[in-house]
Amino acid sequence: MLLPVMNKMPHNIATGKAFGLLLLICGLCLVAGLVSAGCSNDGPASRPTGEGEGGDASTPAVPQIGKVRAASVVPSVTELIAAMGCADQLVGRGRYCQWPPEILHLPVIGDYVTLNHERLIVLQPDLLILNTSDVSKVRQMSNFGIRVIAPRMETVDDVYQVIDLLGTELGAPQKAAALAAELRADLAEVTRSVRARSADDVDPTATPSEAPEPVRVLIAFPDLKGGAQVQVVGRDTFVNELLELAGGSNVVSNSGYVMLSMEAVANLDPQVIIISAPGDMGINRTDDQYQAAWSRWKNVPAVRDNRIFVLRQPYLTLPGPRMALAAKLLADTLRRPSADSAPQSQSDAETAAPGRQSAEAQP
Amino acid sequence: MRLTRQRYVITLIVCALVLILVSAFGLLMGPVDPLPLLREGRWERLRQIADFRLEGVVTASLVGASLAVSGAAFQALLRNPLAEPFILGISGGASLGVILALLFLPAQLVELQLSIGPVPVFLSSLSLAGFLMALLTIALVFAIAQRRGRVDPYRLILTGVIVNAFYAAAIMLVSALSGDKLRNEIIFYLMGGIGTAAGRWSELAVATVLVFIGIAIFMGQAKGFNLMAFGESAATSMGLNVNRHRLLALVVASLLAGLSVSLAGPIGFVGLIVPHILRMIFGPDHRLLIPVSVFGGAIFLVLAHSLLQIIPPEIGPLPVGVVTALCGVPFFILLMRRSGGSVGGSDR
Repeated sequence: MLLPVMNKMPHNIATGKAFGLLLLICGLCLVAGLVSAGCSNDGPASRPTGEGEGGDASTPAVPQIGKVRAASVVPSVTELIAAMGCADQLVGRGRYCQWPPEILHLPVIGDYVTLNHERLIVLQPDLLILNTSDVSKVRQMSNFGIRVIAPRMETVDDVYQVIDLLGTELGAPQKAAALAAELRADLAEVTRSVRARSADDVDPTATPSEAPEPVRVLIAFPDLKGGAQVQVVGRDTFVNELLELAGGSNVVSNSGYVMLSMEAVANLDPQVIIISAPGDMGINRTDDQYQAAWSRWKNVPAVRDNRIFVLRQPYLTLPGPRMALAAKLLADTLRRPSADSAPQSQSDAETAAPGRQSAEAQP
Repeated sequence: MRLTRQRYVITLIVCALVLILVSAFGLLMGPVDPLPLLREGRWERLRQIADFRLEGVVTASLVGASLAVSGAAFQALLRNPLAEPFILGISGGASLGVILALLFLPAQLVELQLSIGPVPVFLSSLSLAGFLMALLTIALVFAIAQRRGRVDPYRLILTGVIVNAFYAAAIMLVSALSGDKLRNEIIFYLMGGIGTAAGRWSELAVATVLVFIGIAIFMGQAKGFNLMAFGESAATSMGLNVNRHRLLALVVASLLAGLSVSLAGPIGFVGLIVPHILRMIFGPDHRLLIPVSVFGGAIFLVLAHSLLQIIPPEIGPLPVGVVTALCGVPFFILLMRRSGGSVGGSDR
């Protein structure tokens, strides 16, 4: 039945047009797909991971004898290794590992879903770091003679434990201890400055026993389609820990990163709404558009007082070496009187973690 | 069952009452308990929550009505019990349109402001993109399937299935190449969801007008649908311009389907199951079946949407399509067993 149809195609003008239309749509889809690949978080910096990099991969940068060669698909762990000063021991990275810039030249060995086995065999790392959900791949990889670890990385405490673990695994315990100490000091500094500021804010006539109420905060993720449900940061999460360090209290009592109905969230009456929209997500949305999603709840304090802040920094939700920076960012944001006011001055922000944020421009 | 004026009127009044009842249920159901707010006299908050829920209920009833009436028309026109609103690839086309707009539309164009006379109308260009792609898909499928201006149902179905497969592949391509979070966004969109954050009443008003025009056209064509059940040649001999009737009805049914996808994403099952269930209950006369489908689809989807609202968030956000299938299938099986197996639009 199909054959005669095919034969008639060129003769039938209408069908010819339809065929042309189909081809056009075909082409559009392909172009769209390719452009979307370009727009997704594989920024321009990561583009040359093709042929040239493959060549590099087979002859990695002369590993020093005895040094453990590692590959990590977990962005936060990759970042930790680099922050420890062990970037030279990295031979491969995951597709979503985009920070710091010095690791971008590394060959991509996979992502959370798939690993590129051939590349791994060629690279022969001694150690492969996967996400906790990837544990099924452990046995498979050990068949190739690659040691696999999949550490939990969900709390501030996890970060310290992973730093410790990496110190042992990579044979650099001093570097690990130094990084941990530095991070502890940075976080303590954030806590201290939050306390100092809130002490300044306290009404001098009030009795000293009256501690200032923490700001009631909602941290939400944007939804491009603007649905009636919203994903929010709940208790027992890394971001919640940072929020409490920064002097805020989470209005959400559910645990984890949960989807809630807008009406339920609005009824919690947050005083501040923080929308975390990392760069790879809101490619084409302005702050105003994210804020507009809340405009119908006019008597929610955060909406009424125009205290909906859009934060684009990708490290806000990433447990890793920039967590002190994230805590500082949250603390500064909570102090902004309204979204119209300018963020805290740059020099102020730099004191929290000198040196590590100079090149903040992410792809 | 003869269709008397009395039976017609009573049935429709009962349907309308049930729809009102179910909508009231939908307004009462939600994660926030209104009683404490009532006691504290927080009227403004209550009004906002009611507005939010009403938008969900109105969207659900528009989408449910469009899908069910469109499904009833497709089943009659294609004389195929498996026919449903998305059989011609409309869901794939509209979804692709929305997803592409989601990814590539510059920020200034996401919300469009038009004015109809003095009234400002806000439209989401995502919905608009979905609707336009649905139109394009209809044009494409008909252009491929027609032969010298005549549309053969079997070629049409085949073309629809193939075009749908093509769109599915295109969507997979786009989502495979997108980043983690965008992919999540796409998957959630494809599950279908009801209601928006921003309160787009003007968009719903436009959609309501379109849905009512579609329903009116179908009501006018109801006799034609009945004649089509006797087969093409019999219908022609009884004075029906089969080609014209079929073309108009198919286009209107497709437009309603496209509209529903652009409003709420592809919500499966309503368009397939609801017309079947109603045909088993009310008989195959389309003069009654068409308006009853409008009510039935709306009732079914509003009910499903309302039930979703009381599921605790720990279980996770369930797409309304899951509920429609989970509730619809057992009910459908029950009815099919009891009606002795005469199912579908073709076997009478």
